[in-house]
Amino acid sequence: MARLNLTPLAWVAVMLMPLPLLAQQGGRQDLVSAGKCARCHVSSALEWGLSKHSTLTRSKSGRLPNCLGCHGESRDHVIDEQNTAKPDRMAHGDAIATLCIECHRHGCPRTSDLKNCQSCHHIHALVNPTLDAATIQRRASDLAALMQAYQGHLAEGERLVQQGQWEPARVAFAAALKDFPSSDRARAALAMIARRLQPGISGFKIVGNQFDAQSGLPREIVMDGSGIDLVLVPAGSLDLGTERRADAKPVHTVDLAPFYLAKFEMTQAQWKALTSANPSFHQGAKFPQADTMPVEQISWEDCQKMLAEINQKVPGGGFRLPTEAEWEYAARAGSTGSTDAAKILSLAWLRENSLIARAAPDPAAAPGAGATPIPREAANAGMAQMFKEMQRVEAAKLAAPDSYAPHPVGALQPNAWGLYDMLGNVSEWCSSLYEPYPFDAADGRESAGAPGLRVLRGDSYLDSAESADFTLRHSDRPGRKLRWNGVRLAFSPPAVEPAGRGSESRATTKPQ
Amino acid sequence: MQCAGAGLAAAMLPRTVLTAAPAAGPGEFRRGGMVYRPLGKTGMNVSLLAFGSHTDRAYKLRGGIRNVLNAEGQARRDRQIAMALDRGVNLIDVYEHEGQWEPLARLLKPKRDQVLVAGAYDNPEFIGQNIDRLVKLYGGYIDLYRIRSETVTFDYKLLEQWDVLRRAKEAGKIRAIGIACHLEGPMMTALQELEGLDYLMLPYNFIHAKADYGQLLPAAAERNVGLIGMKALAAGSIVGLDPRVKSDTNPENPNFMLFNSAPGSRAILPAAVAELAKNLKQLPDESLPQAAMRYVYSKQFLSTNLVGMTDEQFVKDNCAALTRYDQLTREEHVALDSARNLTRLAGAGWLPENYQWLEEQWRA
Repeated sequence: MARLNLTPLAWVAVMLMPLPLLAQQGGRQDLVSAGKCARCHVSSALEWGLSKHSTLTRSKSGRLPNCLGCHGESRDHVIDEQNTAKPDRMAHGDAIATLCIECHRHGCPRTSDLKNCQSCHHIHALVNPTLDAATIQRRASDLAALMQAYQGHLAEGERLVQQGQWEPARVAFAAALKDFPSSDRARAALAMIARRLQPGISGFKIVGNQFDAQSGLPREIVMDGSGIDLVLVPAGSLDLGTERRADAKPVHTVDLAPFYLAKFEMTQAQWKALTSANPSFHQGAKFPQADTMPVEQISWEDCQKMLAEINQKVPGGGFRLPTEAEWEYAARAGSTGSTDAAKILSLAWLRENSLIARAAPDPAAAPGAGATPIPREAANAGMAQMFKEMQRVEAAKLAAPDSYAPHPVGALQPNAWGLYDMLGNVSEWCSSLYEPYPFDAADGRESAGAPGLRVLRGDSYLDSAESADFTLRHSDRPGRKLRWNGVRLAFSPPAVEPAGRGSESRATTKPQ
Repeated sequence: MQCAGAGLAAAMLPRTVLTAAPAAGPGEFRRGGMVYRPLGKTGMNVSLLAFGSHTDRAYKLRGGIRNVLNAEGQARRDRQIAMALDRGVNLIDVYEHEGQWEPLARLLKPKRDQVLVAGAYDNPEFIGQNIDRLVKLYGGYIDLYRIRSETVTFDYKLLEQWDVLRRAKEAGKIRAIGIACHLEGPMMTALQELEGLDYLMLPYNFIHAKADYGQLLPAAAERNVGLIGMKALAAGSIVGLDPRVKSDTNPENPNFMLFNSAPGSRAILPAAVAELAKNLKQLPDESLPQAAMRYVYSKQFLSTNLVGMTDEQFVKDNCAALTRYDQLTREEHVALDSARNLTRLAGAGWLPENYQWLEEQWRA
């Protein structure tokens, strides 16, 4: 087994160099994956990172000798905090050599051995055993020096950003990018500066003077002429799902790019302005505030037509439905726990606060109640309470056949990110197909043309407070329209070139 | 099904078996005297006999809400359910208008985790409330819940009702959701249109077995939707076809108790009645209703049969019929055939007025 013969100083330098940094060097997916693996398998990933295998971008066999290539995608293993799920593939004994000879078809160049690769080569530290220690140490030292310069430029850029010196900061980040041409961090910083230098988004007005420190995007914008108000949901990661329900587990981490989400559910007036129709059930004389109530009784397919209309009004388009991961991330607004039942009714219109036409409180006043007096025998048998409850329910049914309804949007408190009615009022269509977790936006569930159920999130005015939950996944056929299903718009901000020059292009995180 | 000599003795005598015994269905098992089958894809095993929600009219309060039992009736009901539970029945239906929610909840409290409770409702605005009240009474969840509709019209009202049920299931309040309907066509539509359908309740007995010849059963099997039989005794009317039935068993249609001497009863179609009487003599140790129960028990596609039982003897007899449930003897087939023939000749009049849809929709 080959051993890395590094000085303690070189070891420190190597250990300081996180794998994500290696990933930034090449911008390669396999290096990003190695970064994930390195969260637990530090030494294995570092050893692999220093080997020639980490520099390969193609192989004779078609399979790269990296984490995923040898162990498979291993999704269950990656998200398993209890460490009970094994990787998809674990080669042992002769099977390891079988992997090696996919490329090294003639076996070891020194011994021609086709079976005993591990007698010289460590399974991950595939450093050529003929290399001398000085070469290995020099390689590590060069990387450490480059990292030091890169980090210096980043730190300088960030200091200048703090002072609002955008142009000098741009120069510092550009130098960092030159150190590591594929550095996502430097690239993101340059994009942020480009946005700060030209903050406007075509077709929108900026509300207030607050900008996201990470992306440089304005915190709130409003669409010209429509009154559609959008709040920036910052980039971040979310532990999506819950272990409490079969369809919402396993809990897994999803990384999200920044996006805009409508501050309010789309109103009947906004829908009507876009489509010239109002399909809502709750309208007319009984609901004088219908214009400000959420549009409902719309299908997912109706939403697609509406999106086509609204995207014609914005240069480059960009309006869409949120993915269900985006929805849950925005609804939680940085909180990790479950819904606080005590506060929920100050945030959400649910069954408990959505009874708009109360039934007669006195059962005796209800129609027909007098015809069914509580018999003496029932009272003696201790069943009076049951009688009263039955009468109350019957009276409520007679007095108020359509007694629950949504409310005007924005009438309750917003969540921590300024979004209103994320729970309750109407459920909101998401772009995602209702597929099992883990959520992966790239696995086809965001395909607009794919058949299947589409996700609805956020409960409605007919759901009870005790079961209201951000993690609850609901779904329906894309053509179905029920009177408690509505919509909230999402918007992908235009991507900018890192240097702030050149044409704008739409962010790549936009669902298909 | 009160019958002199009927009961456990039914299993003792050798019988002429028409065909080889069918193999037990997948997942079926026997524990004690009861047989259990899986209910579709729900993961629940249900006893082949389930306790229906109907209560005894003779003990209902006069002058009050029509379906609530008086104290004596409630005590009888509690004894019947306790007896059924002792015999392995593990599914009890509890319909709101029977006034049994609270009494049953009290009875089941010590053994809630051993019993499956089924509920039903039909108004979408109030299904949510209805479910929440049931859930509070029954330890935080209800096992089965269904939309109950005689006709089921497939409009958005129904889809909304269904959506409320699905949401309650997703919230962990209900374990399995289904639909009960009196028509086969809407049931087919339900299979195709209702997402997450766990079970269907269909009328099924040896006379009303039209489902055998339609698309419903294969379609349900293909989707692994559980089937619960109801009207196994045609709302009690099959009980009235047996001369050995006690006169106080209170069937739905007393006028058609063929051998009842009560005023107003009448014997019609003498030849067919005589034929039935002759064939029933070949079943000395069991009643016609027990043979009828064996008929539905033998149908592997039915996970369970929901039967209204308003007398302890009914519970005993229906359970006793399970001692040999997977096949019918030649004599039983002959008796059932003659009863089927008699009811055909009698027209829909052998059923109470509010159950004549059985003849119209489900006669094979």
